[in-house]
Amino acid sequence: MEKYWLLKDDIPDFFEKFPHAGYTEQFGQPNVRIPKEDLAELFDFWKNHSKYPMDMLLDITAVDYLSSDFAEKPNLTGREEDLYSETRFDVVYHFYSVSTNRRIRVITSCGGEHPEVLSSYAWWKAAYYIEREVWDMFGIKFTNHPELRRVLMYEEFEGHPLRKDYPLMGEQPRVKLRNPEQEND
Amino acid sequence: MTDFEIPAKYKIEEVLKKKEIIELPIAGPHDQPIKVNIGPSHPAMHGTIKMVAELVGETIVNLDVEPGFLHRGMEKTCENRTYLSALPYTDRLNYVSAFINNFGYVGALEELFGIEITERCSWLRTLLAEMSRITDHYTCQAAICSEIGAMTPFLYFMQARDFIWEHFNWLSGARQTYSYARIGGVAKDATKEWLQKAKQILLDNIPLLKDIHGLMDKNRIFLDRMQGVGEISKEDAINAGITGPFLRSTGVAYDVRRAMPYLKYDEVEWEVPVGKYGDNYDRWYVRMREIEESIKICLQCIDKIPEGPVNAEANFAHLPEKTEVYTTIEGLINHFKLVIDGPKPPKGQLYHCVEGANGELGYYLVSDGSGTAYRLHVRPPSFLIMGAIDKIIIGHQLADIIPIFGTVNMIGGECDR
Repeated sequence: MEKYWLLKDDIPDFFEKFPHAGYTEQFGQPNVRIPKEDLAELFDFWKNHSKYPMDMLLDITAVDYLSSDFAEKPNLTGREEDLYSETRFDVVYHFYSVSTNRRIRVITSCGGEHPEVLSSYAWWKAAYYIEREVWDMFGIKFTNHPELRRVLMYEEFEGHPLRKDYPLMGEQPRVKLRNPEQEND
Repeated sequence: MTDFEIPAKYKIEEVLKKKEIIELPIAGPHDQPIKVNIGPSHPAMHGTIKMVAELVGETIVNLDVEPGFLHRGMEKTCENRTYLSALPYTDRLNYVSAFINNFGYVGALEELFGIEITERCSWLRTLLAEMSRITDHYTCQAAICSEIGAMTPFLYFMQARDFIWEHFNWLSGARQTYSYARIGGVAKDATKEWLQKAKQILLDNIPLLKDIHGLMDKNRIFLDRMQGVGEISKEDAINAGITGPFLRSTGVAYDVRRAMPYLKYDEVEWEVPVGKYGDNYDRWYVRMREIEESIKICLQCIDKIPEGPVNAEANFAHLPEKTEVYTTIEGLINHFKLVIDGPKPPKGQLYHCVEGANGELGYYLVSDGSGTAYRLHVRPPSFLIMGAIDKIIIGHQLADIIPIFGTVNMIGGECDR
């Protein structure tokens, strides 16, 4: 079988540089886990990698582990105090190297009252919309993003709909009528 | 490790500084740019997008693209439905080529469950996905033609598309939203007559393509609107995460069907057409060539499709036959458990991608072992193109928005989910 994902044996230099990186393998796909403080170095590492330069950022998304009982997230069982847990959100990056046809998935955790991670916009322009979407849906702030505002929902929307504590049948306040004459100035 | 400093060229201030400054043409009494709202109710915006353009004369100096008018919370809905009942929502992503979305979703689930589909099913899915791609490209090409004023090719394309859709109707019972795929198989096997008629329809499409080439390819009006308009370089396109025909028009031969073969794409002969300049005309031509290649794949599929069962033996994920449900207690319990609790996959996360009609369509699934996805994320190809489209359009004239936006083939359902 041909290989499309970068597994642990393919990238010894990565684990040399990031000795604290966690690694698991599921369904033949790698899950590389690093602390969010290392993100800048990681982006720089993969963008300019000598063997597998990751020139395309395929996707960024997030997962809210508020009410889960995964082995990796043992402390979160949906209690009130878990709302501001430091490991509540996972931000998941998928990178793709066009020239060598290899992929990798990188995961980092964030949380707290105002979760935030570093934006990858400076390295990949693809991040412009997808980071705005993650902000919109999960309320994770991307520092260094040029224009972080909602993209799918409207500006007056309250809350972040893909969080697990957002109610399924939640109601939104009415939006005030806009005055186009004032807005144009 | 934490004292790593971001290299100067990646500092956000530097990145923003590089933004190209467009020299304003000499303006008359109005030297201030004028804001113009285009859409969301505009025939060329395909119903679901708004653009706020700043104009000086007719030149666009700034553009803000606002998607989201068709956002239905599909991902949130899928987190609250069983895997089986989330299937119809995937149809509504790209409703012009729903089979591809369907097969992408169940493909991800089959990888999760570890189910291997049968030969016949695999060939049938390849055939249907390619026929879907033809209809999707027809729609896009037809829209481009009609938007720049060519009504004849529009009607030709629409007629040809409807022949295929009516044919799908025969197989699945719906023209557009089929919900035809099942985990480990499909809802209903295709008959011999159906395959024969499909072959006839596909062969009828070849003279149509010749007609369209004759009408458009050297048409002066068409060339003026398409050539040299909306160019994007290879590096920019890759950096912006653009995939599909859009990326291939710039000369990068990245196609998921070739780069990461799934179904039967490695057992049929076909080419990956690429463009050169990445402008509107290249995108048009790459799509035209892709239709030809898809017809080629389809004809091979019809010839090679073997006899045999179409559904895999996977009762833990696949609804049992109705005869079993009504006559045996095991079948009844099986059916009941699957409908109420949903099929239960192992824990874990995976990313499965297929080549959608507009680019790489990815499904990122997180399973917590229950019958409902803990998280289902769709990587929509049009959404990423929409994020880069403003850079392409800025500097062109107002009328160029229409053909540039047309060649993107943005599908609202997929872009906004």
